[in-house]
Amino acid sequence: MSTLIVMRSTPYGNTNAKDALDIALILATFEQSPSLLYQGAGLQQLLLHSQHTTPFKHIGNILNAFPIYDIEQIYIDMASINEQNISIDRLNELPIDYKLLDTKQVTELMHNHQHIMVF
Amino acid sequence: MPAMDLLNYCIIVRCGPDQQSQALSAYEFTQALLAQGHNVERVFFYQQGVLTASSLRTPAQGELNITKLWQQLQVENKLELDVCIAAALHNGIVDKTESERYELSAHNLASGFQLAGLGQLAGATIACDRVVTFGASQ
Repeated sequence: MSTLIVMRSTPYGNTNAKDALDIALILATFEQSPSLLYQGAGLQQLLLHSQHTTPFKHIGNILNAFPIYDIEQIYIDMASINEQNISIDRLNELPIDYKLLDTKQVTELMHNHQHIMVF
Repeated sequence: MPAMDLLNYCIIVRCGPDQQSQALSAYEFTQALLAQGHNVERVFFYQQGVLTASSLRTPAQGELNITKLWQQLQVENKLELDVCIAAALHNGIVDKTESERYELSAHNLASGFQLAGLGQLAGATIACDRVVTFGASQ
């Protein structure tokens, strides 16, 4: 397995989320099928109907493009769901399939990738 | 002790040159790799890291000029210093070509650095044994 991109930043405040997605999309273009792990504050990137208004482009729409780019290995750190106080119903609204991982599985996921980039 | 395996590395620099310890760690790590005979496929400057490539940086006297250090290393080792073009344009780092394309009043990409697309980074993840990131902010 090639590259794991770990999403740990909120979609606001800095450009990490967008910059990580750009790398994911380009890796997919190179047929590297990157894996994405949403962890900690990164889970907020998955709350599509956020009331937060900002003059910046909403990155949530990029999620819709994942299937087109064959980005299919999407993982969510289970422990972060409680930590971030996110209801599982919100995650069920996502236009993408994802797998919930416990702490042990997160460790395994990291072991199974050659490169890891944390954003 | 068995002989050390020589590996192919890609270094990603994500912090600006003012984040001194991290910016310096990236440089020193790269320097150490080259000194030990490893190959450094490329150094990729991303996010705030692109500011390293400004030829207009003038640190105060007696302060370390990280831009000059990279330039020196580039000349000595024929190192490839790639600067993410999207982040560069965003942060006001342009070469002559981009300056003309966007009809800007000047260009400031330091010599030894070149603008490159994210494809270069993707290519490096395929070609390299190790990708090491410096200066990640969260």
